[in-house]
Amino acid sequence: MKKIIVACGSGVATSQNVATRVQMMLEEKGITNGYKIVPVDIKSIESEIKNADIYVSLVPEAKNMGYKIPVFDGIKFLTGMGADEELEEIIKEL
Amino acid sequence: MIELKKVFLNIKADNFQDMIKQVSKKLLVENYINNDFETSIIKREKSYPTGLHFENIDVAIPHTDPEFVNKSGVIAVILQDPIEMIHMATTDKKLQIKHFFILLVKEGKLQMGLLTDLMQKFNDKVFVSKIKKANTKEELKDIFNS
Repeated sequence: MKKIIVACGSGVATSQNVATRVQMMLEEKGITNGYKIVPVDIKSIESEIKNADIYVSLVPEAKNMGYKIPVFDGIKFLTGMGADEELEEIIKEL
Repeated sequence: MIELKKVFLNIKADNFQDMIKQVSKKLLVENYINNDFETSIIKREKSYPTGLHFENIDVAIPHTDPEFVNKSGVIAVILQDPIEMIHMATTDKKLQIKHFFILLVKEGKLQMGLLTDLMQKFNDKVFVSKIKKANTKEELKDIFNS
């Protein structure tokens, strides 16, 4: 079971939206199990990263933090622009 | 359909802090926010910018923690002239933005589907050209409500 975490700066708006969006897009592709998607609080990102397999980020500098798991661009799912391509990259990691 | 709780048009502001200061005064009077909202939303924007680039418009969706909010809603602020903001999830991608949609979230999370609706609308060329042409608060509210 791969754990996908989504983090934004506030936890009130964007991470939930992106988590739902990614879930829907995966389901539309027929990928319905083997993973779970969880919005997380940016404040606890360091500990969340330890238990996650994939990180979809809406905060700056996420890709420069040297995390051991792959980091993807949450903005693409929020605005929709480039979402399909980013999803393909995530699917490769599932 | 998105209800804009309040619309502020033709606001003159030099920068984000200036805009928030002006709008906070008015939101405070109507008990949408508390006294600490202004400081917290300015601080949050610095660490976690909310500028967004769409094909036909650049907008920002500033928001902060529920503890600073008394009533939920989307507050539209349209400036006379654009100000510089930073794109979400970047530290230095600059955008020139006139159209702000402050998200007031009182409960733990934003109302289901609201953000999706909003994002969908900004991707819609026809919708965007309508809001760019809107001259009054009522026009803007109607466009978002349709």
